[in-house]
Amino acid sequence: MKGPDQMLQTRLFVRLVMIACGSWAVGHGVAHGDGGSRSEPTSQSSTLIQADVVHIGDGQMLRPGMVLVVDGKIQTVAAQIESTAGMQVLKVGELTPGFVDAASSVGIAGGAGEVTSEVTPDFVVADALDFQDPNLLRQIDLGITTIHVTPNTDNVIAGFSGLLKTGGATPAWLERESGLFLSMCNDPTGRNSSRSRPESLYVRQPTNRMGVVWILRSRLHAAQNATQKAGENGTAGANRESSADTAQALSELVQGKTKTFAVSRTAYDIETLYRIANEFSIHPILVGGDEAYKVIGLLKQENASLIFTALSTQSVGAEQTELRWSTPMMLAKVDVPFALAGDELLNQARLAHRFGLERGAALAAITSQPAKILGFEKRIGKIAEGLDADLVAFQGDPLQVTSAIEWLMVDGQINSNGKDQ
Amino acid sequence: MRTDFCRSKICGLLSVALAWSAGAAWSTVASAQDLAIKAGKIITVAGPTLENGIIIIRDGRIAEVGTDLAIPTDLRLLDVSDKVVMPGIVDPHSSAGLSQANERNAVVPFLSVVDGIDPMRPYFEESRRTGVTTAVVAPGNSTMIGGQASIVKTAGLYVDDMLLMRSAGLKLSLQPPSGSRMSHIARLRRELETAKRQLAEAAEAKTDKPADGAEKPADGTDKPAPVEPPKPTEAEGDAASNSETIQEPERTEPAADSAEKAAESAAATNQAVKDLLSGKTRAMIYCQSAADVGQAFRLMDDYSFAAVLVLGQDCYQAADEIAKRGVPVILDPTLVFWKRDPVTRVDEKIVLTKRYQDAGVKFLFQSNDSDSRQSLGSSYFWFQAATAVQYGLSREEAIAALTLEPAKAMGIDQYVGSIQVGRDADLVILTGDPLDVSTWVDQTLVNGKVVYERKSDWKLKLLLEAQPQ
Repeated sequence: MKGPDQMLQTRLFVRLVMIACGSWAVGHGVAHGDGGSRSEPTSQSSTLIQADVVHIGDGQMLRPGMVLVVDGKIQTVAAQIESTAGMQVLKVGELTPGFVDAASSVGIAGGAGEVTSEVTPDFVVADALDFQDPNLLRQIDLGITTIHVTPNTDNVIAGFSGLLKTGGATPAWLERESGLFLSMCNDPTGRNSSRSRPESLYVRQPTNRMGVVWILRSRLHAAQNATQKAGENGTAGANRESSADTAQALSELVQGKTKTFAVSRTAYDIETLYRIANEFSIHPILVGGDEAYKVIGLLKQENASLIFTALSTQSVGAEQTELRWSTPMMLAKVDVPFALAGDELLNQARLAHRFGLERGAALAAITSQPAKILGFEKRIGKIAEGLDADLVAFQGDPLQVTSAIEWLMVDGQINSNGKDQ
Repeated sequence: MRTDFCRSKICGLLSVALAWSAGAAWSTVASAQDLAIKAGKIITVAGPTLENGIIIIRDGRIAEVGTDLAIPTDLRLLDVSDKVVMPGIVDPHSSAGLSQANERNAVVPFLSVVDGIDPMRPYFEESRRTGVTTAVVAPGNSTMIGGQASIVKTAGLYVDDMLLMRSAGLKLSLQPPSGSRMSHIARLRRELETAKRQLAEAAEAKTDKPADGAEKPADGTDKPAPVEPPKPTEAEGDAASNSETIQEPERTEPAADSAEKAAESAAATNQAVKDLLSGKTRAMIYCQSAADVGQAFRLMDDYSFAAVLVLGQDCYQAADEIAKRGVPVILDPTLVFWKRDPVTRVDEKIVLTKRYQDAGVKFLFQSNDSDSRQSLGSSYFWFQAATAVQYGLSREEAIAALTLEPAKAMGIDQYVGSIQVGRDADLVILTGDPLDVSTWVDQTLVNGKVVYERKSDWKLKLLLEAQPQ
């Protein structure tokens, strides 16, 4: 039984290196991470993982199963793989894909909202991401290998989210500008300071929810008009070089060139969102969805995808009903694609399973489903050939609260088991 | 005897409740007839787990437990051969049954939660739904001397029907609500000192007479420190007679002249403090930090009283000292959290159960009030226990920490916390293993009566059988 000891040493070493060489790692990560390219692991080239159960991530499983990892990628997944000389062999209980948190605010330094303006489509979360944020380390402990970092909901048109890996020695972007976030909810009225300080710089709109809709609609309308005019003048169609162009960003939004997310939680916000979406022919991915259970027919009709955050935000939002617990089960019944997202991702899947979501769907909701909704199903979210070797090993059934995470692998590198302390 | 009167009264009230609250979660009530339960598995906690066992309930108590019992023909049979039976969960500390947990005044030892418990609070309904049958209802954590905790069963319409023990402990808090810790502790000591002096004077005044049985030597210096929390006698467990114990200062005070009488009436307000110092009751001390734990031990030594500690998150740093003392402790509901070292700024993951387990401390769980829970699942006791198992506690210890251990800590283990002959028939019938994520409470029994049935729990039905529109 030398394997586990060596693993532990490796983990501790990696951890210490991360702490000691934090600044080096960050510089390295930013330099090499932008294009999505990853520095290849050098310490080991191939690892064979022998598991009692391999959860593929899409509801299927192998029992028993083996996974061969070569150079950070999953090379083979099968019931039986022969080990060859030089292969590191790991035996585990149950294996799942690394978890994907499709809506997180982890690592954003210096605030995630801008109070001087309500329309900031040229803002990019990636520019404010602190790779040394200890919360990124904590994601590893929770089995989360990929996070979608989103701007907050203070602004009506808030800015671009980013998608990144958490666990590599050099945290790296999968997609630096993932999608544009809209807030079709009451939140943008909350940070308005004009009531108390009318002379303030921070006097801003909207002051009520109707105002949120008004700003959203009028800005999209203006962008549509401008785009149309540009088309008549023959200047449309040019892709924007960077995000630093508000008009261009909005123009691309109404042309359907931009992946769009919209935060709506109550039934009436969700209804309003799809009304506006249809007016401007945009197809936002719904984020929030606390009251999705009230408008499931609409979601089905609109072919909606949902990043469901209600299980992690129970104390905020418009409604705190326990019905949110069974919403995942209801969404699954009618095949509305959804991901669970937010704090305590694994416990969300466990409790959604408790409240009626089938076991395969519960695991898929934190692995393959968010990967698909975010458009990265060819890289992450499943244990399948050719995908990144992002894996979580459990002692027992991952959906049981009694099961501990044994270790976590990102791009073929084992990071931490969360049991050091 | 202890509960015959109460039992018939509870039964009557429950039938009344049934009449007008058909939708309430505990509305299903059996008649007063006795019961035999045939279970697939019986987790007795006190003894070995029985496969295919039988529990016979008479007069609300467990009359027999075993695997090869003949079921008397006069008994109603509850056949749950496909289910698991465990003792009702004992919640060792909660303020959620009170309409208000804390007082503005810092020193209110004369208050009792009995006057503040609202049986209609969602807490009690949720308790029955999740298999909690006994609850220690205590004043909140931010009042210095917050009043007296009580132990209640979680089913009933009037608090008197629910009472298992009226005076279960005096709640103290070492967390200053604002301002200085020094003055907080100084004031607390002043109160304790006053009570100590009054006890001494009272003892002196009756040196001629033989001391009352309940009285302890009163000079305070050579008083033996009670190692264990005081165990109530059968009589003390009785709600009615226990209330008399609390309200009979005459018994412990000498017949005195008028000047002394005036002093006495002033002293009556801190009778509960005197009861604490004379060993009649225990303290429940909220410690916010590890330093508070040290203060608690100093107070326990200086004034010779027993205590159960209600621990804040940071108290794990005193785990070794707590282990040495062997006092029962109740953990903060957030069992896993991160802490940053102020010097190195390195983050450390703290798993409370593991810290205490490694130090050799026996601990009890709290659940988060479901209104204000900070982390997913921590409003469920099964989740807390399962989390502890994830980090290395044995399943047996985890189940005991939900049932028998809190009963022992509060001195009520002769009534509740285990399935054995003579205990109250407070039982939880589960659809599977208690720590399994998909196990549900199927039925909850308090004093042999079914007070919760999943099949008639319309709220849960709404959740689990919800159909998309």
